Amino acid sequence: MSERALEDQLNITRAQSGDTAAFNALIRKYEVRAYQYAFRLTRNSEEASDIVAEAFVRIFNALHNFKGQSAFSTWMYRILTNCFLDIRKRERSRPSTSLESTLQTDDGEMERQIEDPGRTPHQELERNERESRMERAVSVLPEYQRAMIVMYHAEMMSYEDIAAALDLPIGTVKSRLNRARLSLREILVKDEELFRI
Amino acid sequence: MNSEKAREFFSSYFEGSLDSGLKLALEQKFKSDAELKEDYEAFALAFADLNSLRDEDIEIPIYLSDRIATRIEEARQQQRKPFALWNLPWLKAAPMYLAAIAILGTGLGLAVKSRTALGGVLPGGHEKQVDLPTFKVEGSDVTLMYQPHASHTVVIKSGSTGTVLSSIKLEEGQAVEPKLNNDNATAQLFKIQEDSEPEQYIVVPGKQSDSSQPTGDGTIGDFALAVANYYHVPLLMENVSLDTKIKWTLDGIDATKSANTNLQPIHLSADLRTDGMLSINGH
Repeated sequence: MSERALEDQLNITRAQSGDTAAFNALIRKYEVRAYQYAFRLTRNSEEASDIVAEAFVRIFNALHNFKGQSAFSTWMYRILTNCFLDIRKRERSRPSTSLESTLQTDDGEMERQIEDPGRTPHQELERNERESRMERAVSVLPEYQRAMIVMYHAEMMSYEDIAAALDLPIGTVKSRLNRARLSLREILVKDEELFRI
Repeated sequence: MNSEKAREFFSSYFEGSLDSGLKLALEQKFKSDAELKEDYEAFALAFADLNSLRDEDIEIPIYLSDRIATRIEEARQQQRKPFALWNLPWLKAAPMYLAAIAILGTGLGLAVKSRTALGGVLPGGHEKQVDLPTFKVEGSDVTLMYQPHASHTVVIKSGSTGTVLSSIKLEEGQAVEPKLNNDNATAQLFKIQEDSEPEQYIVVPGKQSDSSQPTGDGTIGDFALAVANYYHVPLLMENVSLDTKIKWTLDGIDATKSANTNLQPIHLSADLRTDGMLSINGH
């Protein structure tokens, strides 16, 4: 077991016995990583913060059930992903949601609107255009595909860890990731054509 | 192998994990299908570009930690079991309730409630051996919520006279919630001392707000009382010398903004906590 995993295990055991400082230490260690993941899924700082806060509440409530079958971080990603999907589901059920802003696909709902409220147009211009295009393309993927793409390419999780986090067989993770990359390529090609016009 | 099937192998081929037979079949397909080969090249480019996602610099909002702490504190409150007085060991409860009785008639009230402690997180991420309290504001009353993981003593004093209002022995795992309520018309200052920790000062507003005195000069304690009277808001002061001198003019409807305008010249700042307390901090 790595030093990092040992430290987590120690904090988890202490937190399970009611040590608030140990639970705080877990939060401090993982809150940035959790936020970065949530932001990459949502491209919205307010929504990402809500997802992270909700995820840590779920972790707090379920910590006594955590037996260490996976790394704490893998468990955290699973909860974060569920929070993200739940929040989006709730938003979709609101009557004010515009039907024109979404598109149903085999893998879920794809957003037509591309949003990045976290940056000003000036800042956006300064960013590397290719990176920016890629982030926009990821943001319109169906939610489940988006989560997988971010886990693998941004969070650098292995196929095994993603499978553990999403409770899927590795083969399914690989085939869905391949499909997500194919979708991305199509989005990027269309995006390029749009800019050419 | 048709084109659709071939596309299923793009990722494995790019990563070099495709078995040799399929690899050969795919490469032969590329030779005979220029469109598919072009398709793969676009795919490979996108795959490589995807790794740029990890280079994005994502700014962490300053409110993130507070939001997490607040939500967890709410969850902790919901987890707590209802307290029944008759379940409390008498020997532990006696000094607390005697203390509460002793200060009746001063206009300042302090009622102490104990609960069975469950795990939780203290907002602000205190990791000290001595657990600083979190706060709950209800109307003009302020409840200090302790969830100690080590035994220690909390002494609550009147800020104006220095009189000890209560000395509470906190036991490990025993949540205790002394409530500071002020029946006076004007705000009152309390001093909270926990073992060797620096004193915290809490101002509890009175039963009425008073906007008749927007200006004044005196100590930072006087200023806090003036703010509590003017805006009818409870205040918390940490890492602040109570004797610090200040002149003030309270203006506008935003207590935080108004406090900051006056605190800025003496290099102090105020912010509104998520629990509703206006915090003045000496950093």
